[in-house]
Amino acid sequence: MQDDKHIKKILDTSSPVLSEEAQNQLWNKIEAGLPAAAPIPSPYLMNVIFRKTMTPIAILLALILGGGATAYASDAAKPGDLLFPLDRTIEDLRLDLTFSDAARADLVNKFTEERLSELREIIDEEVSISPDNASDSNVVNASTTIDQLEIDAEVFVDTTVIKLKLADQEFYFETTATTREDILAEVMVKFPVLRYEQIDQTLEFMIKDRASREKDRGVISLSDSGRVRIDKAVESLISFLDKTTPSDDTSRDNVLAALTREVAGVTEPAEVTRKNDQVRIGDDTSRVDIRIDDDGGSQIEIREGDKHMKIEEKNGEIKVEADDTSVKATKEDPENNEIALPDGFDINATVFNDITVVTIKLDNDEFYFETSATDRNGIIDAALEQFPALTVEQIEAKLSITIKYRDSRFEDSNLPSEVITSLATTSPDVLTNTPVYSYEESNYSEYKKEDNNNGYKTDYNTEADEVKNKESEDTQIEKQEKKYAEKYRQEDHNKKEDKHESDDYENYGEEDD
Amino acid sequence: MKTGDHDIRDLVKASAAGDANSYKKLYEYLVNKVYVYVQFRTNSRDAATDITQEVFIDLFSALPNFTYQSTGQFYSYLFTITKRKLARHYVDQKLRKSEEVEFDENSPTASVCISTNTEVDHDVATALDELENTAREIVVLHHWSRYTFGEIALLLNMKESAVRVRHHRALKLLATNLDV
Repeated sequence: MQDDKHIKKILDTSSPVLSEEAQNQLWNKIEAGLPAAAPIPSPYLMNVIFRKTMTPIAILLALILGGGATAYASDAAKPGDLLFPLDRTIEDLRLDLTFSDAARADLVNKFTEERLSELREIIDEEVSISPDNASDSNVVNASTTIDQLEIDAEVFVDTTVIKLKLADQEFYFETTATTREDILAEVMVKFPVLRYEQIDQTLEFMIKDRASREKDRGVISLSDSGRVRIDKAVESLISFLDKTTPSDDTSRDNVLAALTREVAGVTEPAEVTRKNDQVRIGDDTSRVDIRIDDDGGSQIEIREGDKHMKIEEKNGEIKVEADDTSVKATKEDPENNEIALPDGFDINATVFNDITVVTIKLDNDEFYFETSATDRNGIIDAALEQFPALTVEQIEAKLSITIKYRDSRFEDSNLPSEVITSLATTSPDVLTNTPVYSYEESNYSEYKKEDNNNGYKTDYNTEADEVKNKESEDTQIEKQEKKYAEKYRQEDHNKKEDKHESDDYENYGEEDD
Repeated sequence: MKTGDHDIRDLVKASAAGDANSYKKLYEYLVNKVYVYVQFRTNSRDAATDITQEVFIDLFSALPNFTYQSTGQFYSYLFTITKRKLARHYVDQKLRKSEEVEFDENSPTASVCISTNTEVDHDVATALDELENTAREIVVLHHWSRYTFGEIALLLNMKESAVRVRHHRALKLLATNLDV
C-alpha cells in the first residue's frame, strides 16, 4: 500500500504538463485557426438578394405587400398543384422579411399548420375508398345484401375508423364523426348504393377510449400517384421544420408526432390485413405477422421463403428463434443422413449488453463459456471453436438464444474462477459422451483459496489445474475481473471491509479521481 | 476549481454554438489531458504542441455535430480525434524518415524513444518502457491525463475492473523497476 502511494506520487510528479504560459501561447495559435463563426443574419434585405431562386424583389414585394389574385390563389395550393412553388416562395419571403422573433414564430406556426392541413387533405383525397363495384346489381335483394353487409364504426380519441364489408370485399375510411347519426350520414355519402335502413340495421358502433393504432385499420390501398403526393407533402413539411425550428424545439417534436400519426401505415403500399388479434403484412410466402397478447407480451413472426424467425417479447425479455425450413426438410428427409444428437445435448445462449454467455449441456454435464458474438452465426462459430467435435447441424438443431437488455451479472455466467479455454484437447468427446473435462469433476476448493500475491494459484494438483496452467495471461485477468467486479458490487451494497488483498483495489486510484 | 459534468456539458454546448469564450474554458480544462498523452506518444514537444493544436481546432469544427450524452462519452470522442491525429503524424513520420528505421507506435523502439525525452524523468520513462502497451497507456492516461478508471475503460473499450487490475499490476512492476 505504501509502495503504491509512493509510486503514484512519482508518476504524478513526472507528468509533462504544459505551463500556463505555454497553454496561452498554444491557445493563441488555436484561436487563429478556429473556423469563423456563422454570420449574423442581416436585418436588411441583402440576404434575400443572394438566394438563387429569387425573382426581382420589386415583383415579389408587390405580391406580398400588394396582395394580388395570384398570391391569394397560391396560398390554397397543395403539393403537386400548379401554384404550389409560388406559394412556398411567398411563404419563405414573408419569413425572411419578418424581423421580430414573436412575429416570426407566429408565422412559422401558421405555415406549419397549413402544411399539416394540406397533408390531411391529400391523405383524405387519396386514401378514402369509394366502392365503385358496389353497383345496384349487388343490392337488388335487400335481405341478401344485409346478410352480406357488415359495418363497424370504432370511435377513437383521435379519429373514427369505419370498416365496411360487402360480400368478400372490405373497405375502410376514417372520419371525424363521433356520433351514430353522423357516422350513418358519412357511410351514406361514401356508399350511395346503400339505404339508410340497411346501414342502420348493420352498423356496429363502438367507442374506444384510446388513440387509434395501425392494427385498428383494415385494408389499406393507395395508388402510386397518391403515394407520391403524400410523400411530397411530408417532405415539404419536414424540410420546413428543419429550416425554421431549432432541433430541440418541443413544438417541432409535437408536429412530427402529428405527422407520424397522419401517415402511419399510409405511405407504404404494403398489403396489411387484420385477422383477430393479429396483423399480417405481406402474403403467404413473404410476410410479417404481429400479435399482441392479452398479458402484454408480443410476438413477431417473419417468414421469407424457406426462412422463418420468431421473436417473442414478454416481461422485458426477448426470445428469438430462427430456423431454415429448407434445412429442416433436409433433416427430415429419410434419404439423407439424420443428424445424430448427443444424449441430453442442449445449447442456450443469453445475449447481454456486454457479453454473451453460452451454456452447453451434455447429459448431466454443463459447460459455460463467454463470447462477444451477438448473432446466431457468431454464437455458432464460437461454440464450434470451443467444441470442435460438434457440428453446425447439431448446434443449429438445438441452439436457442435469449436477449437480455442489461449488463451481465456475476451470477449470470455461473462460471467458476476458470474459463474454458479453446483447446481441442479439452473439448468433450460428445459423440461418445465421455467428457475429457468437466467442472463437476474438478476440485473447486482449490480455486477458492485466496492468494497473497495476485490471486493466482501456484500449486496445481488436479486435472483442472493442468488446464489452468495452460491458460493465457488474459484469461487470468478475466478471472480477476470477475472476482473484483463482484467484490466491488458487494462492497458498494454492504459497505463492509474486505480483508482480502484486493482491499487495495477498493479505494485504488479513487483518491486520484 | 474542479469542473463537473454539468459544467463540461454547458461548455460543450456553448462551444458547439460557436461561443469562443466557452471553448477557451473547455480548452483550459482539456489541454493537458490531450497534450501529455500526445507528448507521451510522440516523444517530441514540438510535435505534441502541433498535434494538440490540430486536435482542438478539429474538435471545435466537429462539436456542432456532436450530441453530448455524458462526460465519459465526450472524452471518448476527444480521444478518437486525438488518436486519428496521432495516426496521421506517424504516417507523416514514416514518409519523412523513409530511409531510417520505421516508427512503429507500438514497438519497443518507440517506447525507448521516450527514455531520451528530457520532459520526462529518465528513470520513470525507462520504467514505463518495461510495461506492455496497454498497461503503459493506462498508467499515462490515469496519472498524467488524469482520467478516471471508468473514463479510461471507455477510451480503451475495456471493462473498468480490467483497467484497475492492469493498473495495479503495472504499478507493482514499476515499483520493482524503480526500486521503490
